[in-house]
Amino acid sequence: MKLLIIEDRIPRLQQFAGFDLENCTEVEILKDVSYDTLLSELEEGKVHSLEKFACIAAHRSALSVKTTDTLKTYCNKSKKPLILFSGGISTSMFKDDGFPFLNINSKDFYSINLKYFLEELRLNRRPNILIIQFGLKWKINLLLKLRNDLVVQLNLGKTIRIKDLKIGLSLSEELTDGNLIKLLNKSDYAAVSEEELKEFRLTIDRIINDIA
Amino acid sequence: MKKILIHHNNTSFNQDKYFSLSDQFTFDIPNDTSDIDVFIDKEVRKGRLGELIRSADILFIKISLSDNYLEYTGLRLAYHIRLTKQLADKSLLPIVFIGEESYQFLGITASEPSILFTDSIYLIPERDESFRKALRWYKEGIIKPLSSLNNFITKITIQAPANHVSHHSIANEWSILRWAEILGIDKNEEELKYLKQNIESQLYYKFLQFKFSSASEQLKERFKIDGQGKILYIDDEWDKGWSSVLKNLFVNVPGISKEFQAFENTFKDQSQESIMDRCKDKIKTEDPDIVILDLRLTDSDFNANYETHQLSGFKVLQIVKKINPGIRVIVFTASNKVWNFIELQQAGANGFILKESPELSIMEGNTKEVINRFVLTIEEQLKYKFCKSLFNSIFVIRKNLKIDLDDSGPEYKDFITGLKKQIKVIYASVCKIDIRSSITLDMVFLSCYNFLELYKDYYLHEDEHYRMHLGNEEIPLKKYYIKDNEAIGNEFVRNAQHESPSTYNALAALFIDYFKVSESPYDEVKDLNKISKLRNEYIHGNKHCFHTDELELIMRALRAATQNLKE
Repeated sequence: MKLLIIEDRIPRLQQFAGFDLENCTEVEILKDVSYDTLLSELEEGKVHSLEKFACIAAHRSALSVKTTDTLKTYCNKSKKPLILFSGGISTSMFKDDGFPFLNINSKDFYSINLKYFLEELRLNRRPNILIIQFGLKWKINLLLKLRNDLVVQLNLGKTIRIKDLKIGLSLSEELTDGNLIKLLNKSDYAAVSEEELKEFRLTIDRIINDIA
Repeated sequence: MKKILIHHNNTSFNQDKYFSLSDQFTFDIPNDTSDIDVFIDKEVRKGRLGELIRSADILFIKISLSDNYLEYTGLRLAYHIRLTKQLADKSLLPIVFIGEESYQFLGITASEPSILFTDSIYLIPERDESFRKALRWYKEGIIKPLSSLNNFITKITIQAPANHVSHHSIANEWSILRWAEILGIDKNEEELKYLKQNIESQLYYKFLQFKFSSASEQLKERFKIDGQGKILYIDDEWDKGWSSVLKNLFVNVPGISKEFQAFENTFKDQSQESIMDRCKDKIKTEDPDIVILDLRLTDSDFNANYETHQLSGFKVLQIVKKINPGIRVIVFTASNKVWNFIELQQAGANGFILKESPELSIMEGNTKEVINRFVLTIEEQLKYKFCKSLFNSIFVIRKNLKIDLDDSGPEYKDFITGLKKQIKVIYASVCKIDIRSSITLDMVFLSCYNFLELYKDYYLHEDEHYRMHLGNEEIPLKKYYIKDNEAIGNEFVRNAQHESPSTYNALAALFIDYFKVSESPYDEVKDLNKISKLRNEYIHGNKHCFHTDELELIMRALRAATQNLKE
């Protein structure tokens, strides 16, 4: 599994990345002819060269409107994560509306978080771009959202089911508390009681505090 | 009391019992949004969100306004509300954040938490009783609007975007817009319009505007520049606004306006070698009097480990000085590192202007001062324009002295060697010219005069009949004088007082009869006469110092003296 980096400013890449990015086996940085060829293909709407990559990252100013659209359409269709980076981006912004899509400042992209992302890609063969955005804090991000969802559900007082909690694979690995496992192992459509939700919330609070 | 809720469909407070639908704003960033600040700014200034804020007495904002909780977009929105001038008094509204996190937790995990610790900011958990309490406190005046932004600004910190050291430096762009403002330049000019649209929505820019608002309220001012000359501006950011700003600065200077040029080269993705080659060609083609030079022209220059001599700007400086040390180089940089200055000065840089940056702008009126310093530096350096022409003459003279001496006699060899040594002295003295110290000009003139005196020693001979001859060809020495715009020469005759030919006598005769520098040598003779007089007046204390035009005069004589050299 590899990350493709489409970058028109290789010196900057070498300068910002604090590790040997170019020799990392989980990444392919297109240069010279192969770079030009890919951009021409994308301009024509051809995407076959992207198939072998698990995730695509591109310098925003290297792309035309057309190639950006081609990339977005391709990632949406293939559900592949897309990262657009630029020096002009004020703060990172992630959306998972159809496909995981991250806008991030170039310097934040070429950071130690990219190294963590590539390690995760190598070890678990999972392109988790939240790692690029938040580094080692990425799990807290999911836990905070989960806690908020629980609070909302508790306040609304409606009956909710296990599937409404929307606990993804990467997060469920963190929820190792005995009672919690029991709860989450129930059927997706099993109702969750108010007491269970309150207990769940307390467990999440504890995990968040432990990680933070 | 009008209360408004801003959320991302991630709160139970969006029920009608808390807020009517019309008092809610669902914050959802569209997929095609390129930058979160652009979206927020547009909504706050011109969108429905702005309308709601303008109608509100109190704002309730979810701490997270996206699916990605840790982005804490609610905090960012609150900063925009405080720092968007168009909201006027409504930017002071009390803001109640809704979230389960503690102040301490947010302080640790948020990238910009400082707003949480300012007045009129409150944090409640998402619970019915907390909401009711907040409303009660508002009615009792415990929760109230901010009294003014002054205190707020001193309490918050906003980090510059991570890429601040590179070409997308908001600080630099901010500086460009401040120059434009003070110079009264229309910000709708193409380059500036782009800049304005792209950065005025940025939170960091808004923060800077408030922090340094006193300076931005200065009246625009016209800066007068004296002097004329050709100016070449070399900067990777030429198209980011600086080129427009400088063009405008020079537009009313007749001697510069048409001679100012920005090197419109795409530097960013080029290697240093390529940049050097292009700069070399450009400088040779344009032959500027002044180069305004940025130190960092390419991405690699932002390498924190780079030393000054590794910067592309430093290398361009060396190239300029190699082409002609008389071309004045003004380093226009955002770096205030003094060790840079020392190294650059040693390499020949003639002036330094710090591009203003927020970090440096610590006092009121700083922008005006920076522009003033810029103007004064340009004026000062234009006064050195003559140095370029002196060096050009030295280069011609050096070339003229490249003579094959294999078949020459030892005396001629010594003569040429003497001239070569003397031109080195002249070169060194021109390098040392400082127009504030007239002695440095005197040294150049006298070194040149010494150069000419070597001619007399070598070429002038006296025969056994006490008659004077020139060189190996034994041409009789004539004494030249000017009459009716003509150089008239009579035989040089020693009189009873044992009159010896002066350097002027010897050179005039050499120029006309030996080197045959011109068919009608009136000008040469006149110039030599003047040179001789100037030198004598100086030596005898009747002349205080030499002037730049007099250096050019004697240098012309040196060129003429070397153009037809023969044994």
